[in-house]
Amino acid sequence: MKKYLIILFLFSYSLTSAQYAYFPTEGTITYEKTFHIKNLIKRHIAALPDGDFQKTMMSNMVDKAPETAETHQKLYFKGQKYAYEYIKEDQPAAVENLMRFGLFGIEVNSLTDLKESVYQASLDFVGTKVVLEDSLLDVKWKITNEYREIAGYETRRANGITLDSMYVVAFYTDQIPISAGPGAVHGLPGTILGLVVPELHYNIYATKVDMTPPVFPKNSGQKKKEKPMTRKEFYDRLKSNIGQYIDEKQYNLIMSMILI
Amino acid sequence: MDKEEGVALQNATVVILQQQDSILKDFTRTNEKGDFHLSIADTNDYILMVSYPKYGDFTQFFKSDQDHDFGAIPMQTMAHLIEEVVVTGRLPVVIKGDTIEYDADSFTVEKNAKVEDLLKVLPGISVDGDGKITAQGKTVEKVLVDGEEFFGDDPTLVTRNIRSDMVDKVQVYEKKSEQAERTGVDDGERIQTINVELKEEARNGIFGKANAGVATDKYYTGQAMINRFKGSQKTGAFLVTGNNGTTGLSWEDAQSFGGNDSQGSMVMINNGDDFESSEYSGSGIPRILNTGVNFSEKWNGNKNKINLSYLYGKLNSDGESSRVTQNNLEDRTLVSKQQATFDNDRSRHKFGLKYDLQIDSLTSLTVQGGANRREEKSFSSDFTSMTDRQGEMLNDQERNQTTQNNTTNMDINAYLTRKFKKEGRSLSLTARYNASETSGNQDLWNNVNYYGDGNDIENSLIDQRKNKKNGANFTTASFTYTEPLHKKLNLSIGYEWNGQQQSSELFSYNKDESGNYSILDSLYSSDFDFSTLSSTYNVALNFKADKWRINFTNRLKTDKLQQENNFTQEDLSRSFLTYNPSADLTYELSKSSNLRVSFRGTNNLPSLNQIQPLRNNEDELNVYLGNESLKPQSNRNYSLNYHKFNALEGSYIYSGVSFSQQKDPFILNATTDAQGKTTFVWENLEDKINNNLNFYVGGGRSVIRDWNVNFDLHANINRGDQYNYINGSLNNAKFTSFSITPGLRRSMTSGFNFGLWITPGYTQQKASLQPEFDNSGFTLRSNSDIKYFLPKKMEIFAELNYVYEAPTKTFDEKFERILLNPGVSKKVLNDESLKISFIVNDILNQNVGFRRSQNGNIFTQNSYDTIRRYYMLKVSWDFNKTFMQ
Repeated sequence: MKKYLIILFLFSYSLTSAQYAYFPTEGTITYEKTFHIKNLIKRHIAALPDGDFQKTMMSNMVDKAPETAETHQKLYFKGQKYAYEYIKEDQPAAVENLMRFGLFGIEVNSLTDLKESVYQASLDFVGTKVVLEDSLLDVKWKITNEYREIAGYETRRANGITLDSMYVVAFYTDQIPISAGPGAVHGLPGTILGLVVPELHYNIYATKVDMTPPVFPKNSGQKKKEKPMTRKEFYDRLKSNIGQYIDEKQYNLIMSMILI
Repeated sequence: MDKEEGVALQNATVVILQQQDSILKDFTRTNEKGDFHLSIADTNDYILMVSYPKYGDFTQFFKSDQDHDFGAIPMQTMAHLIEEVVVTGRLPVVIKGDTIEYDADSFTVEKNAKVEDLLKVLPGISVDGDGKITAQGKTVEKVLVDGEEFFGDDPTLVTRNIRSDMVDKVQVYEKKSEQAERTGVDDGERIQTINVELKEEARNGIFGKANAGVATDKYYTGQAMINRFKGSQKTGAFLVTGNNGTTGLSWEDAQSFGGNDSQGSMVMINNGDDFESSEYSGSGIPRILNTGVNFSEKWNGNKNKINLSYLYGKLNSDGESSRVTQNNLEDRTLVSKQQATFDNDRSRHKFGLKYDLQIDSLTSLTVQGGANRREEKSFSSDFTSMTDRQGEMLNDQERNQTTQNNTTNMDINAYLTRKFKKEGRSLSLTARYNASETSGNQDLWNNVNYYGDGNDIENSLIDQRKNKKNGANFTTASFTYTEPLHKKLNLSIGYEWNGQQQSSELFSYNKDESGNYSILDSLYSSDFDFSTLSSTYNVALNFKADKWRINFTNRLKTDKLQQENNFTQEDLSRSFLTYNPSADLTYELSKSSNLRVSFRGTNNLPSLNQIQPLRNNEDELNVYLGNESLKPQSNRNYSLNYHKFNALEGSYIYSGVSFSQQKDPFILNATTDAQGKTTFVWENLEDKINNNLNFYVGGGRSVIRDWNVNFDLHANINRGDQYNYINGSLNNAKFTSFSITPGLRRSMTSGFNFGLWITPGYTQQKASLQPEFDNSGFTLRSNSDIKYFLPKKMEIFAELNYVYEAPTKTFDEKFERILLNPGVSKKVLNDESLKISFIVNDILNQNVGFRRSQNGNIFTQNSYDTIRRYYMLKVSWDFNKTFMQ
C-alpha cells in the first residue's frame, strides 16, 4: 500500500498567523444527561421474550416512573487527557428507586489519554466495583451539514456507529480542539457538547464551558484494588453469570449503557 | 486564510471525508502558521473539508493517489454567505396552538409503508431523495417519537424503520431551544420539529395456550387459557380440569393471565384455598374443574382502571387414610390407630372487583370488593382403637359423619392516598367491611367402647343431628399521616379502629321414639354472641441516610372482648391493653450487601374459644374445656441478617440468625384418664420462657464458567422447646434439627441441563417425660431434575424426588420413597408452538401420601391414598396472533 502525503500551506501576506477565535486547551465542561425513563423501560419490555416474569413488573414500573430524570457530569480536559465524572446529587424518590434497580443510571467515571490511546473507567455495578482498561472506543463517524448552538458554541452534527450497531448522534465544536466527549464516545475533530443515544433513550448536552485550569478528580478511572478488565473481558464475564438469566437482547442493552 | 484580511488561521479544523459516504477518515488542526499535513494509507476518492468558527466551510474533492498541495485555502466569514430561504406553504390539517397535527389514519399509504412514505403524503411536508424533510418551508431538524429525541434526527435511519400503520398522529411545531426549555428563559430560538405519536396500542391481538393429556388408569388433564387485548381493554378466560393433581394455573401462567400486566391480571392471592393453588396438596384422588373469566380496562389516560373477575371451581376427592398416634404420658404410652374413608365435595363461586382512580397527580383511590359462595359436602367414616404400649385395649371408637355447609362472604375495602407538594408528606385512609355467614348441618353417629380392668365394657353412643349457624362481620377504619421532620427523618402517626361482631349457634338433637331428631341436647347446644372492639395507636420514626435506614415503631392497642351466652344470659368480658415496640436497622455496606438487625415485640391474646369453648361432642375422646384466667402471651423476636451479592462473579452469600422468646406462653394441659379419654385446657406457662433459635447460612457461585454450571449451598440449624402438661406434670419437648443442601445447576437453552440437590439432615426430638421414646433420626431428601435437548426440537427430561427417614424409637420403621417422573417431548410446526410430550408419573410406582409430626408429647404419622404411576400423552399449543388495526 502506497502512502501519500498531503501538505497544505495557508499563507498570509504578512507571514504572521492570526488567532481570530479562542481555542482552549484546558477547562471544565458541565453536562446534563436526560434519561427518558418511561421509554427506556418500554424498551426493556420490548427486549424481553413473551411470558418473562420481568414483563409484568416492568409494565407496572412504566406507570409509576416519571417521564424523564436528569443527572449531571463534569468533563475536565487538559492537553490530550480528559476525565469524565458524575456529580453526586439527590434524586426524587421515584427516580432513586429505579436507579437502585440498576437498569439505568449506572455511573461510569472515566479517564481518557488520547496520546497513549488508553481509556480507563470505574463503575459500581450493582454493588461491585468494576475497573475497565482498554484502547479507545471505536466509533465510525459521518459528518453532516447540520449545526446547532450548545452552551454558546456552534456545534456540527455527526452521526456515528459504535459497538457494531449502536447509533449515536453527536454535536461537536471545533472551537475546543481536544477530541473529547462525554463518556467513551470521542473521535471527532473537536469536543462533543451534545450526545444523543436514541436506543438507550438519553441525551447529554453541555450547559457550561469553563476555561479555568481544571482540577482532575482523584482516582478518576483507576482504583488500585481491582484488577482492570478490557471491555470484552467484562462483557464475557458478566455474560457467564447474569447472561444466563436474562435474554441476550436485554443483556446487550445493559452492556451498551455501560460501554458507551 | 481569511479571504478578506489574508491572515493565516491557526486551529482551523481540517477533515478528510470519504467521498462516497462522507465517513470521517481523519482530521487535524492547522498550526500557528496555518499549515497542516495528513497522511492517508490507501487510494480512494476523498473530500477535504476545512472549517473555522464563524467562517463558511471550504470543501474540495481529491483522490489520494499522489501528494497534494492545496495551496492557500480562502475562507469566507459567515456574514458574507447569503442565507437561502425556501418558502413553501400549504394548509395544515388541524392546528392546536402552534402545533399542526396530522391524523395518520386519514392519509392512505401502501401496506407495510414506513413513516417516510406517510410524511410524503402529508400536505406541507416534503421529503427529498436523501430523506431530508421540509415542513412548512423549514428544514426539520428534529424528529421525535412520542415526544422524545428518539433515533436522533436522522431521517434515513428513522423514518424508514417505523411502520406507518403504527403511527397515530404526526405533529409539526417549532420547539424551543434546549436551553430555553431547561432554564425557562426563552431565547427566541425555534427548531422545526416533527413529532410522531405512536398508537397507544399498536398491537391488538390474542394469545394463550391449551393443553390436554390422557393417561392410563383413567387419569386426564386439560387446561386452556386465552387472552385478548384490544387497545387498553383486556379479556381473559381459563379452564383447568383433571384428576392428576393439577388444580389451577401455574404461577407463570397466572402471571400472564389477563394480559401480562399486573393492573390487568387477576388478583391471585394464595390463601391456602385448594382452588387457588396450582397443585393439590390434600389427600385422596382429586377431580377438579376450575374456570374463570377476567376483564380489565383503562381509560382517561390510565387514570381509571377497572378489573372484574368471576371464578368457579369444583373439587371432589375421595380415598382412604390411616393414622398412628403415640401419646407419651408420664407413666405409660397410648397408641391409637385409625382407619378412615372419606369423600369430599366442594364448589365455589367467586366474584372480584378492583377499581383504581387517579383523582389528581397527588391523590389516588383504590376500591376492591369481592363476594363468594362455597358449598361443602363431606362424608367420613373412621374406626380408631387405642391400646397401651403392651397392647392392652383401652377403647375403640366407630364414627360416621355427614356434613353439609354453605358459606357466603362479601368484602369491600377502599384505600385513599394523598401526597402533598412537600416530598415525604402523605396521608392515607382505609376502610374495610367484611361480612360472612355459614350455615350447615351435621349427622353424627359415634359409638365408643371403653375397656376397663378385666372385661368391664362401658359403651357410649351418640346419634345426633346438629344444626349450625355462624355469622361474622367486621369493620376497620384507619388513617396514617407521615410528615418529614427533616430531609432524612419522617414521623408517622396512625390510628386504627376495629369492630367485630360474631354469632354462633349450634343445636344438637337426639332421636325421639319415632326416629326423628327432635329432642334438644342442651349440653351440646349453644348460642353465643361475641364482640371485639380494638383501637390501635401507632407512632413511628423513619430515618434514612446514605447507608442507614432505621425504623422505630410503637404500637399501643386496647382490646375489649365480650361473649354473651344467649341460653343462660351469662356474660363474659375481658379487656386487654398491650404495648408492642419494634425496631429495624439496616446498614448498607454497598449497593449489593447489607446488614439488618431487627427487634419485634408482639402479643397473643387469648381467644374466646380458649377462655370458654363451645362444648362439642364430635370427638368424644378429645374434649376441650375453658380457662377464664388466661392472660396474654408476649413474644419477643430478635433477628440479624446479612447478604452480599457480587454481580461480576455471579456469586452470593447470606446468613442470618433469629431468636424468639415467648413469655407466659399458652400451653395445653392434657389429662388422660384410664380409658384413654383426654381433656384439654389452655393455660399460661408461668416462670418458664419458651426459646426458639434458628440459624441459616448459604451462598452460591459459578463453578465451571465455560459450561455455565453453578454451585449453591444452604445450611440450617433449628433449636427450640415446647412445653405442655400431661396429667399435671410438665413435659419439655426439645427439638434440634440440622440440615445442609448442596446443589449443582445448569440451565441453558441447549445441551444438558440439570438441577441436582441433596439434603441430608438430622432431627432430634426428645420429650422429658419419657426420654426413652425420643423421635430422633436421620433424614435424606433430594429434589432434582435433568433435561437434555436433542436434535430435531426434542427434549428428554426427568424429575426425581427422594425422601428417606430413618427408623426412630417412636416409629420403628424407616420410611423411603423415590418418585421418578421421566418424559420426552417434541416441538413441531415452524414456530415451535405445538408440543407433544409423553410423561410417566411415578415410574417406580412408589408414591404414598405420608406425613410425620410432633405436637408436645404426641407423635403422629399419617398415610393416605395418593396419585401413583400413570403414563400420559399430552399435547400443548401456544398461540399468539396480532392484528394491526
